[in-house]
Amino acid sequence: MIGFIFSEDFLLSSVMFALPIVFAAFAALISNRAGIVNINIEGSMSVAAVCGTLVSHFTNSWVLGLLTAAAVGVLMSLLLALAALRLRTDSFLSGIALNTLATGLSVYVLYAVLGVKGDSSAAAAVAIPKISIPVLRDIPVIGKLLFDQSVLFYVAILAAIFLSFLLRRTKLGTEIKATGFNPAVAESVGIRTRVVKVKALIICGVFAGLGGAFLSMSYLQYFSAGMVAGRGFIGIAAEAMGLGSPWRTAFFSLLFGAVDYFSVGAQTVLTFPYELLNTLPYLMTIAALVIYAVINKNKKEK
Amino acid sequence: MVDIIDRFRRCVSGQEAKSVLGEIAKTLVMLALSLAFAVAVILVAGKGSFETVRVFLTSPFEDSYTLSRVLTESIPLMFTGVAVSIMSRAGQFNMFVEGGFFVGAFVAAVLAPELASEGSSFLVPLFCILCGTLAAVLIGYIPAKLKAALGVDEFVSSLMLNYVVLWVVLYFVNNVCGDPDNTNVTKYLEDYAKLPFLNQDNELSVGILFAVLAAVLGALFLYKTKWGYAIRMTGDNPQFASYVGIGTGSVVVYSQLIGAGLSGFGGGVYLLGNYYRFSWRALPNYGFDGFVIAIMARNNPALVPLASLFLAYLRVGAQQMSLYTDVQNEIIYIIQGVIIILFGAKFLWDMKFSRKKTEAAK
Repeated sequence: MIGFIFSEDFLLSSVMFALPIVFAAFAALISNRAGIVNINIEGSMSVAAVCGTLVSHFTNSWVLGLLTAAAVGVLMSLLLALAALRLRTDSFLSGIALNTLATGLSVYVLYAVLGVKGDSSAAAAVAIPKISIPVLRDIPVIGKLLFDQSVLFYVAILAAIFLSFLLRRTKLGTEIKATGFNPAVAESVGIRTRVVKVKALIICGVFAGLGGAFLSMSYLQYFSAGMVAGRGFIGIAAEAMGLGSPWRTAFFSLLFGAVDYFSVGAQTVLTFPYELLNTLPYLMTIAALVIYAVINKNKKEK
Repeated sequence: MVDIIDRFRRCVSGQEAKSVLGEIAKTLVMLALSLAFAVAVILVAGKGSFETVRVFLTSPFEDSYTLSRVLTESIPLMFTGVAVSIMSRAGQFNMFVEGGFFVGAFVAAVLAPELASEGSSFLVPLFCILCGTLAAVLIGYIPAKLKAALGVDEFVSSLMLNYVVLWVVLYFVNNVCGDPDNTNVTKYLEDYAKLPFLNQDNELSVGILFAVLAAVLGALFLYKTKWGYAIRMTGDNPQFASYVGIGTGSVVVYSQLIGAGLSGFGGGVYLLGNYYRFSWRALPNYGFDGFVIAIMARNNPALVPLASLFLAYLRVGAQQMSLYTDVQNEIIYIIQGVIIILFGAKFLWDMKFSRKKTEAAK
């Protein structure tokens, strides 16, 4: 058991399980910083996952699949922008609406293209490859962790750098923060908050799309209905723990990823009912939310 | 009962008559819009023919069996719709409706075959349903209390709780209280362990009466009691509500407990009314449905039955359509999503409102 947790395999698998959560959390981060609640990350991931995997299968190119997934993520985000900013439906309700829509749409796309409803295993994706650097990858422990990973691992690191640069050093970043902090004040100093929110949502969509693509083009090479399984929502929780900072958000996503992998991996080494192990990531999320709330409350009282 | 009906009439007529009638008129216009959208989706995205549209629109009315299926499908929608309406009115976005419905159905299905026997009264299944309700309320207390005491976001916590409930229930079904002769299901429900049918021929259970009753009581509670008043005040403006002495913390808790209870009760009623055993292996999505209904009903429990019947009609139509044509019924989720956005769109409501104003000005 202890050996299982401290094995290299556990570390590597945890990172793999964390990647979709990292992307979901980054998506939540950028839209939250702009003051728009996007709970449709789950749904966006699902539609992006099915479109990405199918495009990669039919074009025989993982790059096109990945780009499609990102584009679909953006489209879903723009739908949210249309609903929440243009039609002025409460952004929370719009998110619920789009999640419902995504449930149907992802299965609908699958059926329209393949004529099946359960999964797309009949049309396997071209997997997103690994980038493996000779020599460096042989360094013990960190070699495999840092130099022998899926392309999306490096994209996630770039995304974290991009996000912190964007928020700290660019005009758009400042506008996003101002809009999220106090839209009325931002408006009064000439920031067009609606435009800023749309831009933030576009970035959010790209991340959600990448998260979906990881599930259906890297973790598995096909889409199956319900495969996102709450990871979009867990990402939202990880973002809440991360207090708006990309690196802290990534750290908590990793933690959630580790628990997620533990619940799967422990089934092979423990004689514990798998149903109860499956509750771990969700229990952990609730526990983390509570700890976060307690810390917040103490801070306020001081 | 007469007293309740009388009070309900006064609640609908009386002072609020104008606004309630206005709400109903607006709702009907929106329903027509959503129906038009549904037809457009079927024709364009589903590449359906006009025959497909005809099946979608008219097949629910074809015979008494499909008609009773519309009523049956509306049962869970009414319960979850009232539950979400009451919680949303208090400003609480709680997704535990999903888990509550699930656990309520499970507990009722496990207890009923044990407690009921040949010739026992229908009060026995009712008691089992109440036990399920209690289970849902107890679990629903977790996100409610966490929100009130620590400010933990009830949306994410209740959503996570749903997955926990799902897996724990599956654990019990698989290992503890499943049917020894079958895997992955609970024991068979004999007729005496179930709620009676209103009409044996088309399998309409008395659940529909409970569902309508829940809507009526929900409306009375929300608009005619001081607790309902506190809920509405808290939802409209929590700062003001606590300023005038409403205990918003307790409103947050009891509104969510009522929501959890209603969904648990609904789950039990639906299962013992319409199933022969508990065999769900995934969350049945009634929580999200509750939001669709609550939006359509503008969070007014009195309008929930109307909205539920409409959505149930769309669903039965879609099921028939996927049975007889090759347009798939997943299209209904797309339509549902658009319905929420349409009904929630302040843009559209305001547009109508301002037009009315200008007409009045003329």
